[in-house]
Amino acid sequence: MSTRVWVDIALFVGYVLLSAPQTTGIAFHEYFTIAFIPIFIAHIVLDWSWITRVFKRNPTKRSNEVRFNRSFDIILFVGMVIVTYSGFLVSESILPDFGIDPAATSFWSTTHDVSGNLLILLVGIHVAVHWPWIKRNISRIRPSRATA
Amino acid sequence: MKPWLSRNTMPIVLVLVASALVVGAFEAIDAFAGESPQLVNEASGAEPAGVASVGGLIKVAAFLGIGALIAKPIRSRFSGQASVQE
Repeated sequence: MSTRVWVDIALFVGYVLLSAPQTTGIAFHEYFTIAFIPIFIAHIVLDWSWITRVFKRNPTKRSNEVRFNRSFDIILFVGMVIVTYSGFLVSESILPDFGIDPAATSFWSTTHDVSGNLLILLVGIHVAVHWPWIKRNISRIRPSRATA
Repeated sequence: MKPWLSRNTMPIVLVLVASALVVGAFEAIDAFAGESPQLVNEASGAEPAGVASVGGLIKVAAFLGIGALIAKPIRSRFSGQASVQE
């Protein structure tokens, strides 16, 4: 359980840093994405049993919260993939560093900007909706650290 | 590390396949939109400077805060209990 919590904390802190290229700089914004992708995949994989439960549950027995989370998490996943992929296509640091011309179109540039801003809002909702779980598990790992 | 990977191969593959599908769909939209490449904006690649650079973090905090506020009515509408994630 504590691994999941630590991965989630790393994911959130990493996401905040990634979402502020004006603060961290474009080079950090792009290179840190490379480190962020495995953390994002680990977040999904570590919660895989919850995901399969939510998706396999009998439709008639599904609560409104489960239905909401299911649809919302799909939107969040799609948004995360779009913002990451479009980010690589409009790269100003990584691709040029490797001698690749990013050949960005305004379609991908607009997609990156719009999906990036929208995603911050969606992540805010995601964190707030799961806040009881986050609070519960952070308080669970705190005493175990004190006794270690 | 290896047992963890082999245990979780299926979800990892599914995540990658789902990502590829999303990318494919957006590439199709891009092909439909059909635009020629534009020059990368030199100015936008400039490194941030001074107090103005904090604006990026303020924006993220504000957007996350608005998201959290939106989540309040969502939580009261969709749940009577704590998060289902166990």
